[in-house]
Formats: sequence, C-alpha cells, structure tokens
Amino acid sequence: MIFVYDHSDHKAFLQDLADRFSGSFDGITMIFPSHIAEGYLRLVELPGGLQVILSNYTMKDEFTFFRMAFLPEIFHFRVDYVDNSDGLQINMGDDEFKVASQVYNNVMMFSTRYNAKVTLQKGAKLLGLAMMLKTEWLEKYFPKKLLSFWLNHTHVLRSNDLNIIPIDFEARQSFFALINLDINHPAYLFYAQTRILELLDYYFEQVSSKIRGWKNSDALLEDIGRLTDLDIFFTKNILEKGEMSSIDDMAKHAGMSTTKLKTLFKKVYNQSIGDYFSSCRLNIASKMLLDDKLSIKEVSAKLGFNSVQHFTTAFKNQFGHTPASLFKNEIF
Amino acid sequence: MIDNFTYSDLSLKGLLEAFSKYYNIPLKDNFLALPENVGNVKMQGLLLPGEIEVVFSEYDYYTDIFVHHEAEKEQKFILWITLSEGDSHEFIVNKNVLKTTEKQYSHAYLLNTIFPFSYFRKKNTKGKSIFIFIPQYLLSSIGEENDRNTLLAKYYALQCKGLSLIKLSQDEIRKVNDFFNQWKNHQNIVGLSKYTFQLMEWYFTKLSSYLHSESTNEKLTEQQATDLYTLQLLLDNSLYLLKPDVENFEKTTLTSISKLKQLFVKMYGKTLYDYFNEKKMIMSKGLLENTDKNVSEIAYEFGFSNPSNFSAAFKRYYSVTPNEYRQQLKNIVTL
Repeated sequence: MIFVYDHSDHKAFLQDLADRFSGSFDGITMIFPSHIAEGYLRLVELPGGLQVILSNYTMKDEFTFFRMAFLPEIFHFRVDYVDNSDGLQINMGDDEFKVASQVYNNVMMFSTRYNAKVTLQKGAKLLGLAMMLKTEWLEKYFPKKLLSFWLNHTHVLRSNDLNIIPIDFEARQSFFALINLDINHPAYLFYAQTRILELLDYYFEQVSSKIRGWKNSDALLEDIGRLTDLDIFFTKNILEKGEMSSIDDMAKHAGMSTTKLKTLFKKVYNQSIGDYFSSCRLNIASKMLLDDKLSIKEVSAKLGFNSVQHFTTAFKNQFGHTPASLFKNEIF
Repeated sequence: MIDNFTYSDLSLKGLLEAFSKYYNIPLKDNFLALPENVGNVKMQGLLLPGEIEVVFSEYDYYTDIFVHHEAEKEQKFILWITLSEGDSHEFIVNKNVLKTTEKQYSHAYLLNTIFPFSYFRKKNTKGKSIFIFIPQYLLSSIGEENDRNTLLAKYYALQCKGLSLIKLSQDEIRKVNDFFNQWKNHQNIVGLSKYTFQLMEWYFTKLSSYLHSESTNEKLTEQQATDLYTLQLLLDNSLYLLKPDVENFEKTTLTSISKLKQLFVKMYGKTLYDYFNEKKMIMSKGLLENTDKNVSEIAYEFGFSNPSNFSAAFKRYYSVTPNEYRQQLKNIVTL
C-alpha cells in the first residue's frame, strides 16, 4: 500500500489518509482500519501556527508514505522510534537507505524540495513526531543572518548524510514522555510544547556542533543503527535493573572489538561511550530523586554505585551540585 | 539620589518603553542599554516559539534604583525569575515588604498585574532577570478545571500573606545561566524557548503542589473565588477607614457574607478583621520607618478616630507603642 501527498497541511494529510484507507478522523485523531495498522496518528496544533503529528501504531501490512517534492520549500522535522525496524527503507532525493537494526531511533530535518519515501514493513511499530517548519515561522523568531547561515548549512549537510542524527538518552526520555502524555490533561498543550521544544533544541544543538566541525558524515546509517540498538539495550538495563555494564561487555553484545566500538561511538555521538553511559545513569538518578521521591541512599544502591560518597561525587561532577541540594527548595 | 520611576503597563512593550522614556534612551529591536552612570544594564525583549514573550536583562547597578509598577485593571500573569547578588534585596508586593540581606538571591515569583509591585535595586547589585509573560492559552491549562478557582483563590491569599516566591534549585539556576549563554553565544531561539518552558513547568508544578498541600480542602465555585477575591480587594482599598464596609459589599456579591467570612478564614488562615487590622499595622510600621509623619498623622491616615486607639492597637500587635518604636529606630541610627 502506498500513500502519496505533496503539501504541508497536516490536517488535510490526515483527512486524505483516512479517506483513502477507510480510516476514521475526527479532526484530531486518525485511526487506521485494523487490517492496515493498530494505532493512531494525532494532530496537535500549537500556538503560532505549528501543526504537529504524533503517531503511535503497529503496521499490519507493508506501507509506504511518499511525499513528493514541493515548493515553496518547507523544513520537515521528524523524530522516529521504529521498533522491529528490519526492512525499513528510507529514500530521500537520490539516496536510499535500508535499516537492518532492531530499533531505528533518529531525529532529522529535510527540505521539501526533495522527494521523500518511507516504507514500513509488516510488524514495524512506529512512534513518531512530525512537523513542518515554514520559512515564515523560522523568520518570525530567528535573526535573519543566523537563519540563512543555518539553512545553508542544513542543505550542505543533507547531501552528506541526510541530516539523520541519533537521539541520545535524554532526548529519548523527552520523546517518550511526549508520546505518553495524557491528551485529556488540562496542561496537555503546555507539556507537549515543552517536550517538542526540547527535541527541536536537541536537533539544533547537534546540527550546530556539526557546523562547528564535528564530523559523523562517514558513519553509515547501518553503524548508527547498531549503536542505537546498543544504546537502548544498555540504558534499559540501567533503568530497569540498575545494571551498569562494562565497555567490554557492550562490545561483545554489539559484536565488535572494544577499540572499534569506542571509536565509532565517539564519531556518532560526539562523546565517549564511558561518559555517555555514566551521564545516563546520573540522569536516571536525578529523576529517581525528584520524581520517585527516593532517598539518596536508595538511589545510590539501586543504580549500583559503590558508595553514597561515590554517587554524590559523580553527581556533583555531572551537574555542578550535590544530590542533597535538589531538595533545598523554599517557598515563602 | 535614587532613580525612581513608575509605570503602568507590564508587558514586553510597556516595560521596555518605560525604561526608554525615563532614561531618554532609544529602543531598537526591543533592546535597551541604560546610561553608563546608572550601571551596566542591558535589556532585551523577544518573542519566542510557543508565542511567548520574554524580557531578560543582565545588570550591574552603579546607583540605587526604585521601580514601581502600578496595579492594572487587566489581570496578566508574569513569571519573574531573578538571580541576583548584592548587599540586600527588597520587593514590595501589594504593600507587603519583603527584604532579605542574603548576599545571593535566586527566586522565581508569579506576578499578577492587579497587584501593585515595586522593587529596589541597590547600588552594586549584579545579576540576571527574566520576565516571562504567560499567554492566555497557558493559563487555561493550569490546574484541573474543577479546582482551578480554588487554586487561584489560594494563590491570591498567598499573594496577600506574603509572596509566592519559590527559591530556585541548582537545576533551575543552571537553566537560567544556560538561557543567557545561549543568547550570547548562538542566539539559539529554540533553546531560549526550551528553557523558558522548562522554568515555567518547574514553577507551576512547585506552586500547585504547594497550594494543594495547604490544609484547606475547600472546593470553591467560580463565583465564590471571585467574590472572595473582590472582598480582599475591598479590604486592601479600605485601610483608611476604621472598619471595612462589609455590609454594603454584601449587596454586590452573590455569595452571602457569612459564607464569605467562613471561606476567608479557611483560605487566608485568619478572619477578615484580623487581616484588615494586620495590614494596617504592617503599613503604619512602614510609614514610621520610612517617613517623617508623626504618630497622630499616621493614626488618622488609617482611619483611627484618635491616636491613643492607634497606639493601643499597635502595641497589641508589636508589643511596643508607635512612639517607642520610632525611638528604637533612632537609637539604631545613632549607634
């Protein structure tokens, strides 16, 4: 099955999709008929004229979205988490990529002056955020000089590596929080907007560091996929079991040498694998302290730190303040 | 000499234009730099993604400055975040004075334009501040619909008792600093907006959990919240009278006065007469400290028919008579 479209109106997109495949659409939520997919695509309209689509569905059949190139140029921003992504195929302009990893989890921005095609295999589960950034929207907020500099670079980067950027642990947490938000919550729009800005900012920051000289352009999408799998597997271990694995174990899991893993990781994530996982662990610790109201001692034990002292020091090095200082809040 | 000025439209435009006019300096692209003799003070107003307006400034004052914002008819909410360093910091909200002599001051505070407020920045005070103008669409998303009015009434009560100030945690201090760094280094608007939203989310979560934890379980109707709040305004505006005109007030509200009195105790933690008298005492104490008015003048100003009644009331509240209090102040000065 293939769905073709060539515009930036997300509401019309959902309506057309529902009409074409006999789904239902009530102006906000589009539900596929069950033989095509289980789940929904949801329209969130943010103040300032931004239309966002949040998706959460599992394909029951192979499905292709084909966006034909159109002008005036608009920037299509996407964050995707595809589980069971084997066989996922992405075409952008003349470039074609096939994904072979378990999970595909990236953020990207591309211009609508190129064709874009995405094919999902049967069984693929997709969580996604999509929005179109119009030039008028960008011009409204960004200083002119900065914007043109930035957009020019976006084009140059595209031809190298499609602007596909792996998503790190923190951004992934924002993304999951966004997808899991309760739409009936009165502050839905507020929370959704905060999470979307966090993801957008993550992308802008990453692209900026590319502009400033970080090169991951010779990392293949295949490598990014292997690291995504590894990232998700081992951060899940920390989250669920408090288990911190050694880099040797990680290399074994990924089926490559420790040296290769270290080099590759640095290239794709722009930081060392050791730093990355220890900062993940501390982020989790911070959340446990604040959201789950666990004590410093409990968190330290739960996440496998050698001692409370060790935990406190590591925490201070990461955030610049001690875990105890998190609770020194006063209201008059 | 103190630079002392008043303005009456707390908005991106109103705020910047007031400074621009007072110091006679040009306003360009919503950017201002105050004259060099006042200090190294830069202010920038911006519209950020999410349709949110902010005015942020970095300052290092060489003179004392006193800024007064008059109460407005229209209700607007502004989250005001300050990271400041100096000898003392002073704010007056709805006639309540908050003064701290802590060197470091880092607080967030939800301003409401129907209350007057002033701040006093002493010479050699350095810091950063952000005004976040909360748009309507966000206000309607705060709190569950069935308890929004109760929260609002509690917030009003909090405003009157003192200030809804929340001390910034280390995480939030870092966000404020990152906000300024982002602006200086990359002018990354998306980043500024992200921090703005994160700070609002943090503040509202804290404030609402604080308000929820306050002992009252009273659920107010919208009418009751409005009437209660109008009653409080009446009290604040009747301080020159001996007694507030509660009987006439009853004719204008839908909630009965006996119900309102009962609700007042629950929300404000004191009877409306205690509230009224306390307010008079706090303000008369302020006049004793900061003006040359004599005790009788102050007594008449607050509706007392003779000074001895005022002295007695003052003594009940502060354990000293106004004359003794003023004498004590003099002694402090001469020491």
